[in-house]
Amino acid sequence: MKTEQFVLKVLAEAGKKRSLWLALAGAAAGLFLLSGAMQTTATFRSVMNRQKDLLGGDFLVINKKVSLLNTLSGRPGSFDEAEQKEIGKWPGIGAVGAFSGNRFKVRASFRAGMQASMPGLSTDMFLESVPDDFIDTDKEGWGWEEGDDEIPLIIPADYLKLYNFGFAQGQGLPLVPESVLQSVSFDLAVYGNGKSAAFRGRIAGFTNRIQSVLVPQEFMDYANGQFGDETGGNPGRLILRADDPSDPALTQRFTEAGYEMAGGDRLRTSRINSLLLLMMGAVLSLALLMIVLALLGIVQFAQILVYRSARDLQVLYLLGCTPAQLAAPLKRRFTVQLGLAAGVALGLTLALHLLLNIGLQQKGFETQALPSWEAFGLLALAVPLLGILLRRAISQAVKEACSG
Amino acid sequence: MMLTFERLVPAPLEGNTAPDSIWQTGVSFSQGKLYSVYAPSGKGKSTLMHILLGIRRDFSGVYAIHGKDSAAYTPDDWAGLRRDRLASVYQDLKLFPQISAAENIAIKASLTGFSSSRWRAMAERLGIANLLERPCRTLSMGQQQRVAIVRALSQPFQYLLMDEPVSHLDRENARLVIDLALEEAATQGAAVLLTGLNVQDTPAQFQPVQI
Repeated sequence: MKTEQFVLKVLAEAGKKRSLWLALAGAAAGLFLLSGAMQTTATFRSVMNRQKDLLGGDFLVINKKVSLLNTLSGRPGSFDEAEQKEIGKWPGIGAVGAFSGNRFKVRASFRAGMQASMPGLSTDMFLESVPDDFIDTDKEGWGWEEGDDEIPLIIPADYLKLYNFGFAQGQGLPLVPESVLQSVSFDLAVYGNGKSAAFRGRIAGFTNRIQSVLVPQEFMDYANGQFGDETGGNPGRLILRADDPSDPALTQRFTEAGYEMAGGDRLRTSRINSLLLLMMGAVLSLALLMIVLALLGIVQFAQILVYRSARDLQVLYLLGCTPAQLAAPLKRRFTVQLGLAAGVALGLTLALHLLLNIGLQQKGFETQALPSWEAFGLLALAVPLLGILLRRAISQAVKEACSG
Repeated sequence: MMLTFERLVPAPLEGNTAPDSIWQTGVSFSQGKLYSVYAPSGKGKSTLMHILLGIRRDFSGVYAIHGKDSAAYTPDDWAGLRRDRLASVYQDLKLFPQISAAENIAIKASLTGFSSSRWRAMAERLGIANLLERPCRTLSMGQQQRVAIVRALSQPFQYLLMDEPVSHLDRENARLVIDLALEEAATQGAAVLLTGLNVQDTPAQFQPVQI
């Protein structure tokens, strides 16, 4: 009989396995809570930051709060160049872009019969633009060059909702889905400065971020030059590229500076994010507690095994086995079992990722195909750490047993 | 390899040692020699064996192994010494009762690379070959003593330390054990230290050591 076989035999007879399996199940559950909480948070954060929008996920719009003074002066608070530079230096802010408004008249007309489902209407409107860097220009044929007859527009998704769920229903008019509106073009008359021109407008996309009608910057520059007056001032709104637009700290900073984040969704996302972080913190604390308890359980089980086998281990030591040789089979056995617990946690985390993805996709959210690296990184850190602690505890117990 | 005690007094015997005992005079054991340790019961025979084997460290003075203070030896060093240089038969035998006699010996032989045919031949010589497959706990004390002796001899050694190795054996079996031990020790050029023999039963070549 080989020494190692004998050690394993002695240890196998020394302890009831049920308590070990309970401790291992606790370790698996703790590790799963750890990586599962991370995975869930990552999934929800990715969903919140990946809304379909022609404006990418990392932008937000700010303006100054409208005060009584603004009302009296008739001008909203604007951002001068110094303020724009200052905001650009804030942590988490990548780039600052100014909104340009139209300094000419615009009239949009839908002629009855242009599209079966659309009533004929005509309205004065305003246009704004932001630098193209802030718009995913590859999408939906965004962009304009002098000589182009067609002007792409981005309009707030809320406008369509207002029409569909307010106006159309009240008037008994048909509902218009986004896809239909995008296929419709309308007349866009531009005039001022004694000149006029006719273009065709096309809805290129919808946004939940900006309560404005956006046209390409090139068109705005061209039209302001051709038809506009010379009274361009500082912008009233800024578009910002942010590392994490839903970062609660950023929201806090804007509020303190007296700025408003346009559109409620960013603020809502920020609050949800704070809540999510808080919940993740609570779950991670619970996970750590479970892991510590499970580790204590496993270590205690290993120590009991060693102490119950102490006489045999001591004799083997007296026959010439080193403490390391005696600890090796036990360490191997517990490492394999810890690996099993980690495997279970890994499998459950993957299953959770798949289930979350399926559930969110069914609700129309765009999800990330790959699981979160943070979740697996956390497992990759926690499992070896547990392994090291466990192996140390086993070495110590065996040494004590050998020395009697 | 030489084993030396310099003013070594075990903690239990502190202040209770005779002026002519090895605790007072010091002693050196040399490889290739034979020693028979005599002492009244409770005067430290087993303690001496345990100190020599590194099991007890509760003593004052110095125990030097080949000139090096044994206090400097790590658990791994002691394991190596016991595996390759210090063979031992303990008074309480230290067998594993739950496994067979053969398995008891094989565990030691697997550690030292000792061949199965050699230890089986020794078991044959001591009259326990037919008992080897029986669990140790079912053997008589005399039979277990012989299993422990075969196990002790299943390794290379420079010292064979035997604490009352024949206390449960009749005169004939005791002679077989001593003869085998002396032969193996001579083959390996090793020293033999044993306790528990009466002066009249001790072979003449043994040097007496009085505690």
